[in-house]
Amino acid sequence: MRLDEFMSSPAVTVPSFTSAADAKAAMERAAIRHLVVLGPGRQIAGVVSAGDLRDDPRGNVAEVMSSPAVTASPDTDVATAARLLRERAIGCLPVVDGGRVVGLVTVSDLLALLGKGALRVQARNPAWTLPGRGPTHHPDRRGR
Amino acid sequence: MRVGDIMSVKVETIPASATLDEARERMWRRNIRHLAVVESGALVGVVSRDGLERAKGPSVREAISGPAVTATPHTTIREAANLMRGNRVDSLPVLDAQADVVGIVTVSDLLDLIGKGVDRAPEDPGRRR
Repeated sequence: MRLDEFMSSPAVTVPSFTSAADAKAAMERAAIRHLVVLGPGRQIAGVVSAGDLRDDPRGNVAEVMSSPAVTASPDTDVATAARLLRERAIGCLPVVDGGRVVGLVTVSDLLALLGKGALRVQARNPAWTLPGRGPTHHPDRRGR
Repeated sequence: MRVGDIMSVKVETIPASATLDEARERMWRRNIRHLAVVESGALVGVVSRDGLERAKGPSVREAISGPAVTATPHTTIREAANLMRGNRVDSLPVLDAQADVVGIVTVSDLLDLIGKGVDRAPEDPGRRR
């Protein structure tokens, strides 16, 4: 399944000079948790999430956004998108086509696909579900 | 496929009276993002790294949001996805019939599942083989 089959389109965007307070208000109005931030020429400048705008946001979105944003293409498949979201620990993927933002896919969108039974998951490698799987971090190998 | 097939079975628990620092230390040491919070032996919630950052109070009790949304090992993946999305939580403690915590399943586990490859569900006639 390709992202353009289920992405939110158009994505809700704000210019990079938008104040953080206005961005927070825009999110609340639209009941969404992510905004795509556009720079000059409507090129994607970054992404701002509800978590970036907690409490009493000051300044403008360009100061708090994640930039550069990790993006995908309309023809990216859903499994690749899931891996990107997981590996980069991000909540959304702007979908970009020819330099233009054409949509947005969030973790919540993928949960919705699973939840309505639109995806059939495969247990390709049962080993990873073995009891005891979990943190591989060694407690004695502490970094600085 | 069911939650019991993909959950992490090593769940770290922490008393609700523990300090936020104790919770951070526990997460850091175990390299995990969620702890099951217990009081008098019963699950009262989950605390996440994000929840710790936002917490105002001195103890873990103040960092949990509402009663925990839980699953059982028999909960389907589809139900688990709906529970997480509908309740805006990123993890579900998994309880057995005795209400003991036997595992935890997180959004990351579901993303892993999708990332390992998915078929279009058979009700879509477009790609049916």
